Amino acid sequence: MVDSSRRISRREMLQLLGVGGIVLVSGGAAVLRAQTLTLPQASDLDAWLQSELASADLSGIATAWRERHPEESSRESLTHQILAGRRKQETLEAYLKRIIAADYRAGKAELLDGWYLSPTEARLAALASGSKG
Amino acid sequence: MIIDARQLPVGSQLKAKLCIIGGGMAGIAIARELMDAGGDILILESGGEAQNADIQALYNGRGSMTDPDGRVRDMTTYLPSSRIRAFGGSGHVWGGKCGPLDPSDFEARDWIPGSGWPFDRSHLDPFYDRACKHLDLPSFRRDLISGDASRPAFKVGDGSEFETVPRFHSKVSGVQNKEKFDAYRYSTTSSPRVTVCLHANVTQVQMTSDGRAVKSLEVRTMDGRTHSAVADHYVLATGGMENARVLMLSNQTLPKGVGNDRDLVGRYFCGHLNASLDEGDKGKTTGIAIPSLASSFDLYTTGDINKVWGIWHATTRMQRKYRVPNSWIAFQPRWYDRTPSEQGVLRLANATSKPVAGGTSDFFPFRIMAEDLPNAASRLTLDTGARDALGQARLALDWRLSEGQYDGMQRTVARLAASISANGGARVRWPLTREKTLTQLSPARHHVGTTRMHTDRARGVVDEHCRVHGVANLHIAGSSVFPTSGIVNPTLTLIALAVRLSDRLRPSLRRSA
Repeated sequence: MVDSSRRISRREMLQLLGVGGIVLVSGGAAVLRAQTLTLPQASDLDAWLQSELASADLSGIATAWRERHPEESSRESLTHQILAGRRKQETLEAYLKRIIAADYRAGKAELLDGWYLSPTEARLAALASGSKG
Repeated sequence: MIIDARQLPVGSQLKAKLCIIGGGMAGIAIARELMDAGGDILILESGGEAQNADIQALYNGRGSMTDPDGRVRDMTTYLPSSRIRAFGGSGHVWGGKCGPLDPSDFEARDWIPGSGWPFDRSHLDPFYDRACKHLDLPSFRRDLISGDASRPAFKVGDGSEFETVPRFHSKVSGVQNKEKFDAYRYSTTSSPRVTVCLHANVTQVQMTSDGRAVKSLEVRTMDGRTHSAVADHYVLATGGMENARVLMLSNQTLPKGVGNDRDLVGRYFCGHLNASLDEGDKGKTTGIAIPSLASSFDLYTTGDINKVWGIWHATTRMQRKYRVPNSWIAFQPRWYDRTPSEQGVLRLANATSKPVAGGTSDFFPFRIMAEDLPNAASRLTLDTGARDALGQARLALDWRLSEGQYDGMQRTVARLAASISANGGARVRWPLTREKTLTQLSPARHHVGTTRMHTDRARGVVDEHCRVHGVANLHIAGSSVFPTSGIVNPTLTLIALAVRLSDRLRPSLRRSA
């Protein structure tokens, strides 16, 4: 029933954003652990960022992400978080597409600089906009 | 034939088989349907052929809108500015946008108290088809959105939560095409059976002593003449606000007014409110960044991507699953140079979504509207301390927005973002805070619910046939009878209901032929 005295809570919003249960988006490093990991491969990510996003202005999103997730302020941390679930033999493009879709399906989208974006996209924006080495 | 009440001898009595109070879109539709039925039809119109400031001032009143956080917005100018008192009614300023209510709008939804029509959408479909003919439109088909099979509608996710809904623009509108609008409003005036009496203000619906039937109408002019009108059947068609006012003012026999023994007249006022932020290239705009996923898709309701807005609405399944009201998201072509942030997100989305070479990729501003929810406290009353030029009490509008409406809007945007982004389809921008949303809501000129329809006299002013409960010969036409507002401009639906009402009245006109 639509209750006229009730406001939507952050928890309810997270439920709406996802298909499953509640996902805590501020958990940081613990979020994306999987058994199929390979070591992070930063070199092709750097090349991809240079090729695809070098000229993109994503600074507002990057700033919002850093403010909300100060534990991910370094390039190493961001890179690790992005690549932590990559499978062997999986191309970077295929991996990013898969993990971003999974972010959305799992209800991990966050409102950043007015945009509903997945954490992976926000981390890519933070890397592309320059983070402390 | 057109006559002028100011030129009739004082105390004239006008007679007809059917008297339609109000020469707007609904009243004219009924006359068009019935002008060949055999009985004489009289249309009483307060205004003249053109708009006039003194006559329009009869619509002045007091108004306020209270949001869920208790902020009160002055809506005084809304009363005269959202409707037109002239022959053709608000059709003079109507933009022409048409669409049928969605099937879910007719359902009794347990999460929306007061929802539910006495019939379902399929019952109204044949009348929608006939309404389309009045408005010179093709019939609405649910299987064809754009009219161009080579450009399928853009799909949101798997299509289970949002779908494209059709909208057409009628040329029978004072804004779209004055000639076609004039052809519509004058279409009955050459009929020997139809008399349009201009400058004729109905100031009292006079009842029989038992209050069970209309006996006659008191008709007054701005220059002080008083006439009367007598008919076998009466249709009140003065608009979503004025219908309630005429009933409440008609209190000579029934102290609370006609049809108001349960204190329902004027209550459940609903409108349509849009939320958006439109900062263009100077800031942030609500909208959607669509990467080039397809070489040919159509966001729009016609094949022309640059001219017509596209509409998505929440499916019945989505509404039921998340217990939200119906809602609508309308796109428009971008009117400004893309901002760096919009370009940046498009780059990001294209880079991660395997774009199609040559596909359409752009940022599309959008606005959203959630269904206004039925609320007995949201109401029109008579302001007995303020009188118009005819000495009649003016209206006071106390429009109450509910948390459910705001909540539904937020939930819908969140679901849209999740649904459309999961397959890489697009990215949603919604930079509106709660305060900004509520303070910038933009009201449309739609007035719904003040003489709502229900089979139960305790819950509705009119019955399922649009007849005023307890009054044998008085029906109501217009959006005031809608039990719920839906999310589409009301004109097509109010004309469909007028056509349906005409079928009910036709036999009684035939008998008099």
